[in-house]
Amino acid sequence: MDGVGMSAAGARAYLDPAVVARLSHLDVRARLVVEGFIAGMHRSPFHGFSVEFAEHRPYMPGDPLKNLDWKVWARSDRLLVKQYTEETNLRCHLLLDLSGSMAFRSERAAMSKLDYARSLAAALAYLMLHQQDAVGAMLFADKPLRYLPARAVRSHLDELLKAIGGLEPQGRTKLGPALHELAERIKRRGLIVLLSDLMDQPAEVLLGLQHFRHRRHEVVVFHILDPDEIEFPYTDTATFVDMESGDRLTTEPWEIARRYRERLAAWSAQYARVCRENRIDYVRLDTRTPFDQALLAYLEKRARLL
Amino acid sequence: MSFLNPLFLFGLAAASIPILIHLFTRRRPRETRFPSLEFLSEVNRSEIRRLKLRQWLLLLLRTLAVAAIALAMSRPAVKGTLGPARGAATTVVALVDQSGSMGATSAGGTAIGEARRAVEGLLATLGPEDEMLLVPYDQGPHPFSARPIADAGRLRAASQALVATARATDHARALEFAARALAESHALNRELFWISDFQATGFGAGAGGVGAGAWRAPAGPWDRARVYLMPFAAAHRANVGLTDAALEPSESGAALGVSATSYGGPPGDLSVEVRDATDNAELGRGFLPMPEQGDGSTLLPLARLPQQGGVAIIPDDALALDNRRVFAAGHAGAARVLLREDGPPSPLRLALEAGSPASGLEVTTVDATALPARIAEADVVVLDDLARMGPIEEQAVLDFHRAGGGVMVVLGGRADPAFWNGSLLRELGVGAIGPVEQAPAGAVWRLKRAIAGHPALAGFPARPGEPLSTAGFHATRALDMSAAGGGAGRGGASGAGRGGAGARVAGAARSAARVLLEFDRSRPALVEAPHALVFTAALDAQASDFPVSGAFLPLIHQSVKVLARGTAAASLTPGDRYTAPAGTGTWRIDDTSGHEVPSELVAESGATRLRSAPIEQPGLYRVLKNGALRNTFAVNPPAEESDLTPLPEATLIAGFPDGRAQVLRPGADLTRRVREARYGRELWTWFVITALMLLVAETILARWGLGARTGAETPA
Repeated sequence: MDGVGMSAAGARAYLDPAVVARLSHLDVRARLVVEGFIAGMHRSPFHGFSVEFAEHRPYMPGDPLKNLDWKVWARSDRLLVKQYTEETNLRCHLLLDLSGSMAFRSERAAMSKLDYARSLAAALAYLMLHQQDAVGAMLFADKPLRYLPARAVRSHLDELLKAIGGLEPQGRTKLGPALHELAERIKRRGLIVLLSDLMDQPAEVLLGLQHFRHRRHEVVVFHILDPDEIEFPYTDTATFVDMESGDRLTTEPWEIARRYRERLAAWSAQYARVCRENRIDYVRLDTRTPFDQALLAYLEKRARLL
Repeated sequence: MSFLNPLFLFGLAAASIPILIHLFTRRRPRETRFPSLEFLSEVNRSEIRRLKLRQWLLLLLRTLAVAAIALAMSRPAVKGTLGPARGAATTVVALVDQSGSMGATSAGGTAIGEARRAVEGLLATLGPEDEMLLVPYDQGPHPFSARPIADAGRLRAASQALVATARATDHARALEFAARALAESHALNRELFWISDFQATGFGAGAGGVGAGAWRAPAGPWDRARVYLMPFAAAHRANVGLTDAALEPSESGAALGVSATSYGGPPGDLSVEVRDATDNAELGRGFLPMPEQGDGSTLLPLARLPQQGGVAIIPDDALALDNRRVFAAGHAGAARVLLREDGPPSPLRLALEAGSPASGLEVTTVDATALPARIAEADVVVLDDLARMGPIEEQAVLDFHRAGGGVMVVLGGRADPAFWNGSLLRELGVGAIGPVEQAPAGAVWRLKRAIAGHPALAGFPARPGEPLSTAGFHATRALDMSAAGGGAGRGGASGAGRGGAGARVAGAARSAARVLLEFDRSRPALVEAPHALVFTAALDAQASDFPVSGAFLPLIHQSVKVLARGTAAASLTPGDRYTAPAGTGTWRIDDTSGHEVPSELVAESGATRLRSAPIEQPGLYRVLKNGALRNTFAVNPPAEESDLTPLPEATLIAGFPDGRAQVLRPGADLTRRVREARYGRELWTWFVITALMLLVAETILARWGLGARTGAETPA
């Protein structure tokens, strides 16, 4: 696997959005994020994600002893860990929200929600393709913008990354139609990964997600929010301008912050509850959350599927 | 409500600062892009009313807090009832008693000293728009300025110059003046501060003597003014005051008759010391028997007659003013006697001229034509058994008497009752003479003493009712003294007329005439009136053998000398003018220190008189003509100042309509109490407390909002 030569600590740094934000190319971001993620796997409770032996790598303190290749050790007195390549026919689809609200980036965040979603989507695609999974993508705003069917060839990565990074945020969030359209289009059971701020009517979003579940897809929802969206730390009277509709609202933020946070928490909790009821993995992220949290969630989901 | 620092009311403009800040910040909200306004709009809609209410409440609290601080700094106070008015905020009339009794010792020194401090305290209460009329008073008001003034410096200087005078008290005149001043004021507040010992005698007999409820304040704007009574009573009211001291001829030589009145003093003998006023040499010493309440008198023998006068001194008590009494020696040099008689020299003339001038009498006999021209130079005019006088002569004698000159009239057999009763006797107020009465055959009338202790009768051993001598009178004039009174009382009382148990004219309350010698109860022989002595019988050999008796010469000489001294020996009271007949020459009046008292020669009732300016200081004064001493006179405080009993406060308060006056006790916090009484209670502390409470409420309300503003609460 790439990145073996990089130090583990250096690689893990790329799990930090603040570090990743300094990388301009999406492919580089994807590769470094995944390498950083893999470098940290030895400390995670995850027990590997391949079933077919691929290669050896030097043992590092903390690696499970069960993965040690005792035969090699007996022959050459070297401690090598066996690494596996899983044999799979998993088909993944990345649903990336390109609505106007995804362009929001607060001063405290290293990147916008869209950049975060792009980086995460790229990393997931990179990881999925390296596990021989077929990866497709659908970009949407108030309507589907672009669809890339799932393919498992590595050359598909370039096309995916180009699509993910190629379009600018636009329009309003209309998750419902996009989800329904994709659910109808994807015939074969697979994994649906939704990356969005879910700024839509929860009922419509959840109907769309249930449509996937109805077609026996597994669904992971990465709910991406900006820290300021969550904490609402504004202290001065401000006129807020809606990034999608252009509507304006002048208010004293400190006066409504508590109620706003309560409302946001309730909204988020509603998604979490309905997702749980429909066996959909719901992961709320803010743009400061390290990428490994999302990747682990994906791997756990994948592990349950296989 | 009024404000003691009204300039700070401009600070109320600062109350608009929170509003301005609010409006200013409202206009410049920062524009912030946000992913979706869905939640914000929803929350804002539900919160907007509460937020607006809270916002306005905060704004109100801040505005009120700033306003309360500004109001507190302007020192608000609640005023009393005020009438519509213009001009200065307060006119204060400070009526300050400076009469003699205010020199009494009090807890804080003297009453006048405490009054000074009270006035200074009042000055400290005056605001920039307030004004004061400072009115010291004794017998009359002596306002410091014609109108109320706001110049605190001048008023303070005037208050510091306040001293007790030796004058009597007349509260009524002073209060009338204050009432007029208050009525003329257009100030918002009108206040009278009446600072006095409220000596009862100063209110007249009606108030002090009759009792509570007798005194009434004069008409004034009492319904529109506040009246404060500030009593400064003497620490001890027990006081003994000398009321009289006069030289008395005595058998052993010179003596001083001393009288005093006690007002609660310890009963017993009071030591009296007599000193010469010029060299302070002791002339005599003795005791004055005094009751606890009432009069006492004594006759103190003197080592010698003082040259000009002396002073009687008793020990210090509550009021020092009345513990000294000055007396004058009287006429200096020979008394000039002008004798007017017709016919050959009479026994009276011979008696007057006997021993002259060593006898102390310079006698000039004149006729009807010379009298008007010579009378101005005389001290005494003797009219011996004249039938009548011509108009010019009569007018000259009347003018002479009215100007204070002494007149002796001998009404013998020639006297025309119609003339005398219609002219001089009416002027003198001794009554009316009738026809000559002859003594019953074989009987004579003896000249009996009717009064004790009169200087004209000094040296005669006879007691009242006993004959002066064995001489007998065959004829006399009837004298109806019940007709007296019309002209009596002009001019000052003679030195011989003080106090005493003289046989006053019955039924003639206004008459000062009294009988010194009598033939019997119905036949007066020698009657004394102011500056006058009247014999009702002829002093010649035909009428009696009295002229050849041993009593004749001393009686005539002493009587004339009493008349001659009468114009000078009287004691004046402070504020009086000295007046006396005066001829041409250079006249001067000065005190024993040589300080001149302004005086002038004035024509009065056809005669020339020397008249001084009002004399304020008690003491001995000298009258000089062409540099030579001609007379002395004394000025002593009025006896009524010795009674320190105040009028009861309840009577004082009741004297004002509806009892509007209130008593204000002197004390260290006088200024504060006056300010509170004038402006009401100061409210600045309440405003400060209110401001603090508003700020606390604002802080709590603001922190409530601030908690949401800065809270690190993060939803799950």
